[in-house]
Amino acid sequence: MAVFASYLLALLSLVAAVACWRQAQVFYRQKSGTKLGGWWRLALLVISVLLLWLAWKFWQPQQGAEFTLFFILFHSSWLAWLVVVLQAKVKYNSKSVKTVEQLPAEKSWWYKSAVLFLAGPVALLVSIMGALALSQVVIELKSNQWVLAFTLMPLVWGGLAVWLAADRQIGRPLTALVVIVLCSSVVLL
Amino acid sequence: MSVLKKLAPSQSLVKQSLRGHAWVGLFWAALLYLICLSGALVVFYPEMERWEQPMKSEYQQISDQAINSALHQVQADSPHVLDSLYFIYPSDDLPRAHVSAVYQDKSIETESEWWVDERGQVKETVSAPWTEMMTGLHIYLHLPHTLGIIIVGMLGAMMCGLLISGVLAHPNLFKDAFKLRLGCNRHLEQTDIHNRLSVWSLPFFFVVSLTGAYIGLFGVSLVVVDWFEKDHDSEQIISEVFGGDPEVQEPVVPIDLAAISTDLKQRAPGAEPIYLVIQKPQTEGQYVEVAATLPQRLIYSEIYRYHSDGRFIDYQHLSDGDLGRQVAYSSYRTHFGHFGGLSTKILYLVLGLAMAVITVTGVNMWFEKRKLNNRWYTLWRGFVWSTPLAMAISACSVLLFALNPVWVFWSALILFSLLTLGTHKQAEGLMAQRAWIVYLKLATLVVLVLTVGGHSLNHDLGLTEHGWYWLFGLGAVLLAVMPLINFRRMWHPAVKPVTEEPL
Repeated sequence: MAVFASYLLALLSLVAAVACWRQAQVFYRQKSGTKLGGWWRLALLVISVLLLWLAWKFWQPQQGAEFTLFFILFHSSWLAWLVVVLQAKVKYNSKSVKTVEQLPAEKSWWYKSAVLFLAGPVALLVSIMGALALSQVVIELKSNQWVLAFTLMPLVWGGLAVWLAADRQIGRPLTALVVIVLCSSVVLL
Repeated sequence: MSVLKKLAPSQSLVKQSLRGHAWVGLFWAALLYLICLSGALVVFYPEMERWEQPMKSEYQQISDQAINSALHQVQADSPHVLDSLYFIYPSDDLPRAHVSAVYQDKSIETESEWWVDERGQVKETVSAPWTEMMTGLHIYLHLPHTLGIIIVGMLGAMMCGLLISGVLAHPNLFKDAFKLRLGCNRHLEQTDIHNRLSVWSLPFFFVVSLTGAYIGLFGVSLVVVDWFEKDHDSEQIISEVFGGDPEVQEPVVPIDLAAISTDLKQRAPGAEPIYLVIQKPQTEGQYVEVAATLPQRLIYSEIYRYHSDGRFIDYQHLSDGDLGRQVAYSSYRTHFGHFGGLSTKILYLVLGLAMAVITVTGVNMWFEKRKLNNRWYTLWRGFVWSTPLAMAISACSVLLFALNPVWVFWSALILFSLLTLGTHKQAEGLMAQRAWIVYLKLATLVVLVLTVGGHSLNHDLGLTEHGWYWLFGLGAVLLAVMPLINFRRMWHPAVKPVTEEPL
């Protein structure tokens, strides 16, 4: 029963925190630029932090710090969605939209294949090298180095892949790949 | 708010991020959708396994004598040399125990998992082909395991990239945090749904994508790290990270489970055993490992090692070892949502489904922004709504007709996706497409109701004595009802019907 009550109270604290963020945003829209509006927003943000701390206090004794951290992070999501849905604006639009069947091709098949190759296996190897080198620079203990490298690698790979797909000048991300390989080689070899 | 304005990315960076975000998202959308949808559902895989193979008597506790009896029976009956023998304890989500044999010859493909009753009698083989199909889809995309897990891990890494580019491509992250415009313009509507869902659940997506990528790409990373590390090979790296195995050389004696249980209760009073392994059974190297969860800890388990006579050897220091070891061993529970009980599982289901919706709305946004209504867009819509139908048909086919669920899933998915293409050039245009998609949703519901009903009748599941099975079935049916409800009209009844079907 105590577990259920504390869970419920923690959720209520989170609801209140989300409501504070919403209200702070309303003030931002209404009184943008005024001194009073700024103070109100600050006060609401401070209150929301206190409410998050209260949620932590309700959860932590029953669930422990590790679970509590994830509960606060994850439960905030659906509570915020509720607030978003409750104040959603619905309009009726009867205008029909003219659509097209085709778009002009931007780049050649060869260019796209090259980007795919660079963003795939090449960026993977570079990201492992980069993550391993970085972990060796910042951490001393071997086992911790490897775990950091394994954890960092997906972030670096994902970032590089998106950059390669994003940039109209492929030279910039390519240069970054070469720089990462060179710097990593100095550390690793 | 001037600080926020200063932190906002420049216009060219926003444009570039948006471009990268769109292309990477579009390229992998179909696979991401399959991974997200199946991932959201397989959070409940122990329950799915339980539902798929109902048993008349279930239990939460089992005695040491019963465990000993089950292990002896499997060892005695084993036609092949055993490498290790697992006993998996009953739990809240799967209240029945089972034993699992791992043979020395890994190429042997005979039955190796059996349920155990409360008295320790080994019963029928563990068989949950639909659950296996769903987990196989999420973990391997039904590809050969090594290739499949690498591709799924890569998708995790791509999601990390999408997350970074998504944040950079959203300069009004704070300003629009609560904005949701429905009905007015399909592009705006899809954009708002996509952005609101993704921004508010960033922590979840970050954690799940990163842990997924870490688990999936562990093997590939290990090979490359092994190549660069002059003093360590792969096995040494694994034992440094997760802890090594003890060296045991003692005469073979019967296993004293009572002594092991007593010692564990004294050593770690809050520990709850999840499985027990006899390593190298019937050899001089035989020893026992007990994996147990620790209260309020995210690590998958701590592993306590014992000699066969019950003398304590050591524990693996997964709970109090190096920070890296603790983080690495916490990734599983964090990814699968197996902590904090049923409420966390429901939370993971909701957030996982939101990830699937984000993938769908992301693609829809791209087409709507360009006012592009071609065959690819029609095919995409068909694919999105054929996937839950294909999952339901595969469940029906295996549970009621014992067909291969993997083949049925892919056949149904391809067939219904292609059939959707038939609506593209029809005279009624969009109306025909909308009607077809409603039929797909309805078909999913009907197939699921038939499956739940048929499965319950097949196993003679009474409503009162097997209430859990009916509740689980009802939960699945309710999930299929959700897409048929027009929530927009429920919350805002004054609104007139819009010209296009959202999502």
